[in-house]
Amino acid sequence: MRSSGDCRIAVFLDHCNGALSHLLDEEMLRYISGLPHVVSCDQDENLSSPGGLESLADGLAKGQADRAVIVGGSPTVYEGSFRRLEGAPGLNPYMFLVANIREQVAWTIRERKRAREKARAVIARKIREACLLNPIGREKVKIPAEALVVGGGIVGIRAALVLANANIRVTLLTRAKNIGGKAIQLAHFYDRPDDVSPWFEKQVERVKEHPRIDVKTSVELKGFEGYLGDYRITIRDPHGKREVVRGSAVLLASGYDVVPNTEGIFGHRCFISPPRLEAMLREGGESLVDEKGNPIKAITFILDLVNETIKIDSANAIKNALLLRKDHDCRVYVVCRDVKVSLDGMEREYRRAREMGVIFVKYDDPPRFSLVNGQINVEVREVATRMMGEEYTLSIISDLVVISEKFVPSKDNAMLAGVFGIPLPTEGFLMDDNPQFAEVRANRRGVFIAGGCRYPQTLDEALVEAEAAASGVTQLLSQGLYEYDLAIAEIDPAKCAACLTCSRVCPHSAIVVEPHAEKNIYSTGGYGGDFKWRAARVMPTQCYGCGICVSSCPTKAISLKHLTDAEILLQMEA
Amino acid sequence: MESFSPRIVAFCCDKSGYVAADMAGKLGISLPETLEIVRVPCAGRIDALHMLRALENGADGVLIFACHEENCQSLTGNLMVKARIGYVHGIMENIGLERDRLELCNLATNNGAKFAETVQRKYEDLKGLGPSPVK
Repeated sequence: MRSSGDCRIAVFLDHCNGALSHLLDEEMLRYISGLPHVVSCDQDENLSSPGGLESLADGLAKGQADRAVIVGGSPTVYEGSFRRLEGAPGLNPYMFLVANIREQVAWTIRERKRAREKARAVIARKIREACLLNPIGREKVKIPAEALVVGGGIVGIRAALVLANANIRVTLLTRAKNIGGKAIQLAHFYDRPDDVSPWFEKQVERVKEHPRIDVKTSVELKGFEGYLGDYRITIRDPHGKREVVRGSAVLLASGYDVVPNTEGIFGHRCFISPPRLEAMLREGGESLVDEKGNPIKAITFILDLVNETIKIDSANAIKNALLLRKDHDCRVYVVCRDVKVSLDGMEREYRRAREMGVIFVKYDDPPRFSLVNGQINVEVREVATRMMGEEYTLSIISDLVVISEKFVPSKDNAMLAGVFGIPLPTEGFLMDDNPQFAEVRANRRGVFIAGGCRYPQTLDEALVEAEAAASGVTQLLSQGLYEYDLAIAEIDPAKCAACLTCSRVCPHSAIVVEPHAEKNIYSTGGYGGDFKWRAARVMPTQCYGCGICVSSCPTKAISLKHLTDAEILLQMEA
Repeated sequence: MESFSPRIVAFCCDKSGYVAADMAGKLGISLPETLEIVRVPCAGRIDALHMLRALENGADGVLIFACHEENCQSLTGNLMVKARIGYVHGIMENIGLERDRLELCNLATNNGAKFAETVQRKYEDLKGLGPSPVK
């Protein structure tokens, strides 16, 4: 442990607008000034205000202190502003601590005398802890404006276009022979009145012709390594040739899979899938006929037998029901558990559908199907009238029944999760770093996920997500530099046993084990030359500083720079 | 036994427990003054050694405040600490310490009342258990 002989601590007492005045009186001031290593002790009414910050900077400058302790409220109040405080010459942003005597002393301990004693103990401990602090530097890494997009569906296309228009060179990788994905099946979007195929084809064309987009089709992902600013994906083309493509950030937009429902009666020709209906609407023109050429007069949509938590089916059913009523004069029934209208403008469309005569039937028990004279009889126990004490079993005779396909995680997801080191929950869709705050970010810094590989969603939502992920990438790459604090875990290779524990437990895949060290615990002499020993290494741009590896390391080779074991031990002292 | 005031070391995850502790203060709930709060960036930072050291250094009880399961910012930090607590419970039984002296509490940032309740309950429990024999 370093000697604490040369510490010069500046202490600031924050009265928090009077909340702490009864504790921070003259006596306390004398007590603090008398503590070892304290060179100055200033007071302020409200240190977290802009004026307070200025006086903080002044105080630091005049006292020639090399570290600071703020006595006041919660550290969360001061930390952000203190680290941004440029006016503290020669003071490292991590060389400061906060003694929280407002929330944890003044407000929780009623009796004044006891509160004073406790406050003294807390302050004295923080001042001792301050002597253990070490400065933490900042580093920069160059980030070239290049991005990798995995997936050639509509999300990948949109993201690639957004990125390319922001002056970023994009390499678009797709397993398919051509870009376009599943969206090409759609004839209409619910929020766009006209046929969208020309618009969509134009998007595909733009991607193919864009000077900053390089499209690689029919490729297989074989490997992934690197860090923010230098990610490398190894791909294999159909001829078996391997190639490494580079990018500063990676955007995964690989989509989901569909499983058509053709079991039992659903295999009958009168049961069709939503994409088949889309195709019929697109090709059929004015007259809508079935395979035998008979006109179709009644269509039933069956929702929520599968995909009960996904709203794509509801949106598509309402959209197509409206079209069928308007252009083809069909009778349309929508049989569902719950219609999902939580989409932009969908509530209005739903009401319009009801006004135009689409009949919505709500069920609890799954409907039963039977064949009657070449038509389908859908028997459904309707529950909307149940609360009025009545219950009906409806029998809906229809020419066509649209039965939803099941949306399942792409079978590639497991491979992607393995290759990219992204956690894969039991459901099988790739996981966000944080469902509330970092939705399209993966656990690795610089890796983004959007679209169906996260969760199946309607097109307009997927497009918004594509833009969000693309703007996340742009935000990272636009500066050309990524600047970060070295408040991270650090591994001492001399103690490393290359046991891989840390790289397994790291939630952000920030640790690699590679031959880079002069010595590890196995090292012996006699290897001369360029020989390097295998040891774990933290990639500094990837580390979030959580410290999980530190406490997992069996040889205690890892230390957390901003919270060492010594500091933890000191904090728990009485 | 009237004067015995158990010392509690509370490890608080910066993402949930520490904010909840602050909130307990903001709500004005009184807490025992023998409570020492240790702020860690993630509950996964807390080593088995830290828990044992706390007991060795004279704490009568150790509380660990972590995020709810499947809600950890670092994905597995709260599960890692749960596993370590199980391990330390084994050690504690072997050396003749009550398991109840070490406990995990999962909470969210807005659970100030739960934080205070847990601390107060533990305080009363530890009063019943008596001073730690380690001291």
